[in-house]
Amino acid sequence: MQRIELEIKALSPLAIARQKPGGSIGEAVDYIPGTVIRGAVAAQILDLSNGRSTDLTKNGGDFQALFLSENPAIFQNAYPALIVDGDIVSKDTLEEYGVLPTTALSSKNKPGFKEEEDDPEKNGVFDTLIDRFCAEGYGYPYDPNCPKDGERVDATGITFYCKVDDEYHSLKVNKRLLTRVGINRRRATSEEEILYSLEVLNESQETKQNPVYYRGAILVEENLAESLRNFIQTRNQNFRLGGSTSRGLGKVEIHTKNPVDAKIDVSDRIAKFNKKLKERWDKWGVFGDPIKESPTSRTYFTLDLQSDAILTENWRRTTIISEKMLHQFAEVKDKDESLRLEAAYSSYDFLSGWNAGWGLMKDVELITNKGAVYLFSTTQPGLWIERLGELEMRGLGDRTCEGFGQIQICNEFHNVFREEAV
Amino acid sequence: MIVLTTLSRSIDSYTVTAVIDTALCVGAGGSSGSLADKPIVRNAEGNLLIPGSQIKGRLRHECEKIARGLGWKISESPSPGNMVIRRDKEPNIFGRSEYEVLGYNETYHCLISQIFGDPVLPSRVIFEDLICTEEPENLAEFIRPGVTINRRRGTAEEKKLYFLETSPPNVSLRFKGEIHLLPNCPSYAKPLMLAGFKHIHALGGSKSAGLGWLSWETLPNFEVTDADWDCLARGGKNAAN
Repeated sequence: MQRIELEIKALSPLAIARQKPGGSIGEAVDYIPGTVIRGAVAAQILDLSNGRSTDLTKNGGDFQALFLSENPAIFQNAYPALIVDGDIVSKDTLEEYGVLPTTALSSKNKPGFKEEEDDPEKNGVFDTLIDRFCAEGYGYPYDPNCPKDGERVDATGITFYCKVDDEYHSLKVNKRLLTRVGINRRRATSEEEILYSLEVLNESQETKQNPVYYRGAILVEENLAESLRNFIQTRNQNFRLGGSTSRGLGKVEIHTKNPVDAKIDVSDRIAKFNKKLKERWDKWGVFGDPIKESPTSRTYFTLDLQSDAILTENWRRTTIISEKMLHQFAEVKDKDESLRLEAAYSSYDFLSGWNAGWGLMKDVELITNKGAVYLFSTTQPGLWIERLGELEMRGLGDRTCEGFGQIQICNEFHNVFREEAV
Repeated sequence: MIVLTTLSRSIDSYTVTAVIDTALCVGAGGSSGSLADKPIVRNAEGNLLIPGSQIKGRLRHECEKIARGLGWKISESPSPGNMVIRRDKEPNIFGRSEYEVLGYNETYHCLISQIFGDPVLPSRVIFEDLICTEEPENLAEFIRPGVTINRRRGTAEEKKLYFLETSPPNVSLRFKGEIHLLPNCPSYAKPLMLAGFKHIHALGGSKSAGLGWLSWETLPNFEVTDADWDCLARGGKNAAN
């Protein structure tokens, strides 16, 4: 598969609803879901080919290959990008980029990444996955406090982050509320029951002339990568994302990069994670003998959800990835009896949406929130390493072509310990 | 069969520029940060603007008036329930081929819905916000006080002092934006929209009190053919009733 990087610049407010309004306010999500990008590209192709009324499942050509085939293109979510002096920071210079794991914690009083070594405003963020694992192994409860002021710690409140030049940044977008009213055609006054507010993502940051960018990607088979890229690039201002697109919202400019091979090698990250985990285990040895076996004989790896996932086990919705499920997702042929789910940190939410093709609401799905962390261990790493790279590329669970179920193996933020809070 | 490299239809874009001859007052409900009771709507950078939704709604209204005058049946906007005409429940006045849209076999769509959309059919025209070309730093906040007069006493009514934020008056501010016609937009949309634009002389609130009067500096340079006019003129003919 080939990977086409997208840089999406917002030119007008984006109304990307989290749920269709049951009340009078439609909430907005703080990123551009892959399903929205997929819908916009599909709508554009159909409009330009006049193919809306024909059955494209039988003889749809490129459209069929991209959207309706067994291996459709994967449209990943687009998350806010880092902007410095009005320009997007290149992906090549980013050391890390993605969704912060839920195991990360920060001071309750002064949360956030430190901007300098002794930042008086922010006490820094650290990860607790490895320490929790070790504490459990040694039979202790794990209840960390802030390394700087000794006060309470809590979830960070940061969803997206990146690391550049050894500095961590949280990535956020600003939103505002637009209020609209329908006008009664006869009386020329406001129509009853048509007053509504849309929450929208701002088209620029608070400082003027500072645009908002989002960064996403499309994974597509080799033979279509170049033509899809050209299709998007030549019509880069024609795409409209989200709702209310015919009345001034949702205008974006999409820039694409040349398609590159999407293959991912995760072995370095797994090795680094294991090294840190074992070092940490030894440090915990000062508290006495462990109650669990030493991790030296096993290889550990984490699955960090980079987007919401739709997980099913035995036809039932779940928020946990079991050993059996991982075998299926990774398509490991020889069953690995030694695979063990060591820890899972996940939460759930409900999600719906609108399918323009059907003209109907999508089903309400139970989703596992992005940021969830699953820690696995095995004694047969050789079986897994290549398959995990493949899984990181394709994602897991249902509707992966819409950006659901994107994962990262051994997110490097797990190696940031409490005493080195960043 | 769709092949990406051979897609040749395109979206037509046209520039629209309005010059505000008086002061403009497009209220932003729910806004904060202004002393006015009715603050003016701005984008994230602080530029004044006329929302695309207002241009679209107002132009739709004007086009509805013209089309209705030409004898076409028009569904009742903006109420979503009245805009969708189901064929099985239709009272026979919509039973014309002009109201049928390919791929929508259960509903009729009036001429206006075929351009601007309805709850079933997506819009075939895309409107952008008209954004003021003047930098916001150069435009001081202009607050216009108003008071209601008690009709009996001829003096100020109690609790009826209000403040409107408007654009600076009489400085001929330009508001510029684009409209886009999608490839499947019907051809009669061009003459209808052009005529509709020429009927719009004021936008925003307090029009009858002298705010928001404008003239169009640039209107879309549509190529209108005789066939389009003839198509519109058929409104009164062939009607089922």
